[in-house]
Amino acid sequence: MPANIWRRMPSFYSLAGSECMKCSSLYFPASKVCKKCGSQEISERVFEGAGEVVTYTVVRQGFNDDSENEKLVCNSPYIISIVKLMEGPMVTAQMADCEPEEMKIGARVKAVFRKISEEGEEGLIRYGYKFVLA
Amino acid sequence: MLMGRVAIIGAGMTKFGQLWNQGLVELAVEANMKAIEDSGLDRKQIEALYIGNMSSGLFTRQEHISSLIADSSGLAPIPSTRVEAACASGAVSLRQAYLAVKSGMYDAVIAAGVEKMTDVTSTMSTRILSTASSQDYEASIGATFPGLYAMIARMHMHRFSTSEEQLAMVAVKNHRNALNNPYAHLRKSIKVDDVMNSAKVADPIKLLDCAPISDGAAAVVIASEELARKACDTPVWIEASAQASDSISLHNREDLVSLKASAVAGREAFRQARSSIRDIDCLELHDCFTIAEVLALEDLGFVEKGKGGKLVEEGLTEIGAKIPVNPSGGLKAKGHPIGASGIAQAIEATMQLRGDAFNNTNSQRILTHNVGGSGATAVVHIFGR
Ligand SMILES: [Zn+2]
Repeated sequence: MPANIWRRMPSFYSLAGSECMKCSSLYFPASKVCKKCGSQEISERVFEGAGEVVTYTVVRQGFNDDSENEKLVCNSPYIISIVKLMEGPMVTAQMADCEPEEMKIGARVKAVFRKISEEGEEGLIRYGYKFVLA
Repeated sequence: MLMGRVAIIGAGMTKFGQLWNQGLVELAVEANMKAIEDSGLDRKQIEALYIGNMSSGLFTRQEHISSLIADSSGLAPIPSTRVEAACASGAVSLRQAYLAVKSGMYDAVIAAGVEKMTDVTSTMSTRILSTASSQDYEASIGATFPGLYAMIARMHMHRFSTSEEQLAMVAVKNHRNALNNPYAHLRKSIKVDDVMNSAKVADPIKLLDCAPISDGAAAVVIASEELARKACDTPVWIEASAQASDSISLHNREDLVSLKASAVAGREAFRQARSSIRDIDCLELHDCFTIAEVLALEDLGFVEKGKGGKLVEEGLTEIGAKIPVNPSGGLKAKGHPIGASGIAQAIEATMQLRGDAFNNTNSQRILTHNVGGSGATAVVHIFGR
């Protein structure tokens, strides 16, 4: 498994971000330095995965058409959303099991664990978070 | 410490478009030669070269283009530096050149920008452009670059009732402005319906909301006040050069309907120039997508947040109206060879202030605004005569 995927496994598998021990600011993805107060006293914070849709788009012309390097497992069109997690931070994610007509700003969603992409000819599979309507 | 002023004394650019018979180096050399010729300087007077370029490695498999272009332009052994800030590479290059002269280190340098984009397929260029956003948390999950701006546009429409038609009017205006610009990539008149009916890219963004994928290069000669007064009858003074940074990912920003970096750079530019929006006669704004022009009008303070669409609909951004925006055609119609765009904006400002622009606005003072990525870098320059 390439190191760049292995390194990101915690954040992709369990929505693990960070919390500043000084001022309690929350981050996703994890931030080694608190952008608010500058503290480096940081601990891991796993987010529950419940949230709501802040905005979204239906990507009609995606990366998946002729890319040799990385194939997203869904073909265009697919839905990308920015979700505001219950705890506060926002995350960009694909929506799963959902049609464009069902999407709306403010919709309640929850994180699920899905296949995200396959890399290269040998079909290395990368898993991670997507969101579904709650 | 109070250094002298800094001026643009020469400008040159290639045509923007799908230029199959010109490679990256040829484009950059053409722009450099035209800029030097326009300045009236001897090439031996040029002391340093700055080149804005986003991704020559991914688009053409050539890195180390700083020295390659200096040497090919007959400018070696002067120092040459490539500057990268995604779509703002050009304006950051201009700013580095400005700082180099302002510091007193040099009297004459070139700020250039170049991008050769059409040697790869359009899907590949979509992938390459997405490297301006977070690879780990945006692009790798399928968020294309138009997709990111689409999410901004949808939010803006939701919060302020901005309409898709109002966004389309940005494209219609910029296409109309480009009709007179022989350097423009898209010289074709379009109507609101054409935009509305064009192929969907990422809802609500449609094909004609997007700047095209273009090849091109642009260069300006920057000089100290002393040299500018000696060498040039119509120096264009750089009255402000401001730059700001923000999170690369949209989802890490507090407000999705404004680009904070634009607002910060704008305020700093007005501070440097000791001026305000009332002193600006014309704007060249970063309109990679139509929504981006609306955001810029708002973030720079030319209209209240949320009212940008209305301003465009009322025709107040047309040439001859209250505040002309993108008389060159903008990135939208002039074309958007990424690294060259920020320099091409400065060239339009130069032509406007010299009075030889293709759509003359009789301006005394012009503001240019160049954005990198979905707003992680913003650069604002103010030019006067
Ligand atoms: Zn903190």
